[in-house]
Amino acid sequence: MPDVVSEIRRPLIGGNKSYGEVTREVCAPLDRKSSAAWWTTLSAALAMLVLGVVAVTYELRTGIGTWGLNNTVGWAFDITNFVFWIGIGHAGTLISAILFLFNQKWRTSVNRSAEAMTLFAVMCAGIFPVIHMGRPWLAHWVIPYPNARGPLWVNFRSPLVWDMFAIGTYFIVSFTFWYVGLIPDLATIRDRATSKIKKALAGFFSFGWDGSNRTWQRYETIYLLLAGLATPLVVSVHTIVSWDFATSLIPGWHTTIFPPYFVAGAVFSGFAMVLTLMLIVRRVLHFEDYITLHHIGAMSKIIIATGGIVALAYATEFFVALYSGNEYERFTFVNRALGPYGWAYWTMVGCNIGVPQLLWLKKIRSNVAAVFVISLLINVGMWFERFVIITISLSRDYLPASWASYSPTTIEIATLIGSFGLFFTLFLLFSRFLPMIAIGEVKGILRYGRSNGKEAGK
Amino acid sequence: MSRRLLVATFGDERDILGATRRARESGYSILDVFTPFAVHGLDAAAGLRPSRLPWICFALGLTGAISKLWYQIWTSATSWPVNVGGKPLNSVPAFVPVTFEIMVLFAAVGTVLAFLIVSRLRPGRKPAVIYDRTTDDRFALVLVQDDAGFDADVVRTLLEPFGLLEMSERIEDPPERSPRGSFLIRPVFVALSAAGLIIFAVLTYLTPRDFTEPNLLILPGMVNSVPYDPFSADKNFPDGKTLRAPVSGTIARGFYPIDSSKSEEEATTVRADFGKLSADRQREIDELAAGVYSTFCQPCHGTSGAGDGLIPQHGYPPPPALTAENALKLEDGRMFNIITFGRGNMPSLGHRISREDRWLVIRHVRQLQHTASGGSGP
Repeated sequence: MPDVVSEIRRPLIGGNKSYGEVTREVCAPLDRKSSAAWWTTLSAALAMLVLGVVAVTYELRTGIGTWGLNNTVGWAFDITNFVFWIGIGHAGTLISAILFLFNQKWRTSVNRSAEAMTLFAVMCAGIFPVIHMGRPWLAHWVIPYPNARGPLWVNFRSPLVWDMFAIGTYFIVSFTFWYVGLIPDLATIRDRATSKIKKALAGFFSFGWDGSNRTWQRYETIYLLLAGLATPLVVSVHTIVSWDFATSLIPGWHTTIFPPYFVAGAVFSGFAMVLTLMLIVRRVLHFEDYITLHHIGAMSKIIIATGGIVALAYATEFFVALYSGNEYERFTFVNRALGPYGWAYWTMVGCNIGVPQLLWLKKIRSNVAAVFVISLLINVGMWFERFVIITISLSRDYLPASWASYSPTTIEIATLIGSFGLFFTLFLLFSRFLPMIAIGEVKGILRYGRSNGKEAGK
Repeated sequence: MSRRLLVATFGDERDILGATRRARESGYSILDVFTPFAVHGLDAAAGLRPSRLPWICFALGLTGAISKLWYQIWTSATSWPVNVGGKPLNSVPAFVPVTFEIMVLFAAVGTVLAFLIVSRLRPGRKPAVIYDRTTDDRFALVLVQDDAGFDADVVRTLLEPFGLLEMSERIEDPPERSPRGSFLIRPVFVALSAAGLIIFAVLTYLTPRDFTEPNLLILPGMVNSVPYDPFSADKNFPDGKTLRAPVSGTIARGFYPIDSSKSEEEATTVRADFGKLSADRQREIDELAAGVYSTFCQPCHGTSGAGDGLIPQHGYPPPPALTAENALKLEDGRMFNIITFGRGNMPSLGHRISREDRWLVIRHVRQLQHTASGGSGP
């Protein structure tokens, strides 16, 4: 039978696949022996992770003085990394929840990996505030539990406490969302597993899923509910992160534009990271039919849109500084662009405003290598955005007497490298042991855009 | 109770939709439909009512929000009111973010747990897989042959136009849909839970708690023991007294028995045991000893112990040389005795030099004797 393609809706999955082919192809990386490339990458990631563990251990044993912080710049590399990783995490929930509510069916090819990426990024982010405390063995004091210290409660009016609740909730809900999506696919793995251990493990973790229609109906219901809950959640998380800064009185932090500005920036950086990872995965695991140029184009367009919001926010900050007539505010922004850290500011502007404009061209959007490079540059730019906001604002506050400069120590750089090591280690393990693409969801959209497909059962 | 089931399999989502609808319209009772993915419209085709999970989600979200709001107001305004920057203690707008987060947390996690419970999914549960390809690429419609007039051939003709691939009959009692139901409602489980609750309630009642105190004390008898009046009568002891005499030989903290070297026997045997010392520690002790000696002994006995200190030089009768034959023979204990209680013109120094320092002095004297007899170092 010929493959009839609709004029209006293009198929989301290439290759006119049957259901069985989807199962086989997505599960193929799980059945194969690990490739040499996988081992090499994993070793590199583990080496980075070990470096980070050594750095953090040294820092914990010696004290926070191993970092380049000083009296004036009390937040720098660590909080920059924290906001950077949390921002990365936002794309996963956006793809799985917001695009689900908007009925963007192409999300099914990327949501599983994006959600996993969210989890791993939030894990990386969580490390930094904890080690930043200086006495991380007392980290549990941020939890308001009945204690023998009074009981002394946390200050519920503090954005730092809100942050703990927001990130904790975000991690738990993201994990739940990801795991619920994984259950049917684990059942698929269980039923096709040949090794006994794999069958037992997949059987245990698939909770006895049998594909019953009743369960599917409830599953769809809770999936919609979770999407509805996760959508405001994802917006709230980065809003609260931005309040950590906006509720203070530091010029450059104390602005009402921060919540939308941070959320847009988070989505922007998150999509860049999704693109970076997906372009590698697509190539290495041969998922070209699942993650098509259409997907890359759609994600590029989201990057242009959110990048535009970020650019507008940069401009608004400068306008408000000028228009407010507040000399400290004005000085802060002049200093940001022309002061001693001006190179960081212009790196940020170049990577976040300049480079993404190339994606307006269809030619660039459909050039995988170009998109890959652009996504990497955006990651760099977004890291510098947080550095610019946090460090430059702190280093030049109201009193010139208290001005100070900051440069990271090797320990801080090693910690950042270590967080990347953790992220890639987890992602590589995930790519080896779990299906990277939501099998059940992709099967549901196989018919999309095809008035008549191959007889799937044959 | 075993049932006769008819399993019809299909290879496409449109086929299973049509077949399910047809089977239901023709009055067959559908046990369930098994599919590899969520087929939209299949719940309606199989005649399922919409799930009531949204209500659970709503209730849980409301519970989370209300309880967290109350908790914040209670901790900030009642339990330990802290004035933060002159803001009102009950500053509800500042409590909104955390309230929202906890609402989402309760609603999301609770709804998933409710889903797992009502769908009877749990870790390690054995799946009731009725056809092993329903998680891959097959759709299975399972009918119950519940009346005598059920004819498999009629069903076959009915479903054939929908691309029926295979049809099989089986008699079984699927464990998952069995009337015994979830383990949560089994009598043993219910009885055990009830027993646990009762025990918990009784224990809670028996161990009353002061809510102004921080810690929950379970069976606090050992913490709040009943004290006895030291001078009251006590029937537990043969002498009828509460206050007990210390065990013989007990030494109060910080008080050493000064009479240990009064006796002739002890004066000849008692000696300080400095044990095996590292070179550093030895040097340190020797310095200490020399210091004590120069403070208390040198003015009379002289630097080398010859009895030529400043005081004899000014006319006071000189003491015998510490390096003399007689002094060499003195036991450590005897020397300790002399320092403590004095002898002849030597005053008692027991109240001026601490016990440890007296032993240090003896150590130093021994070294002086050693040096005087031609040795170098101890």
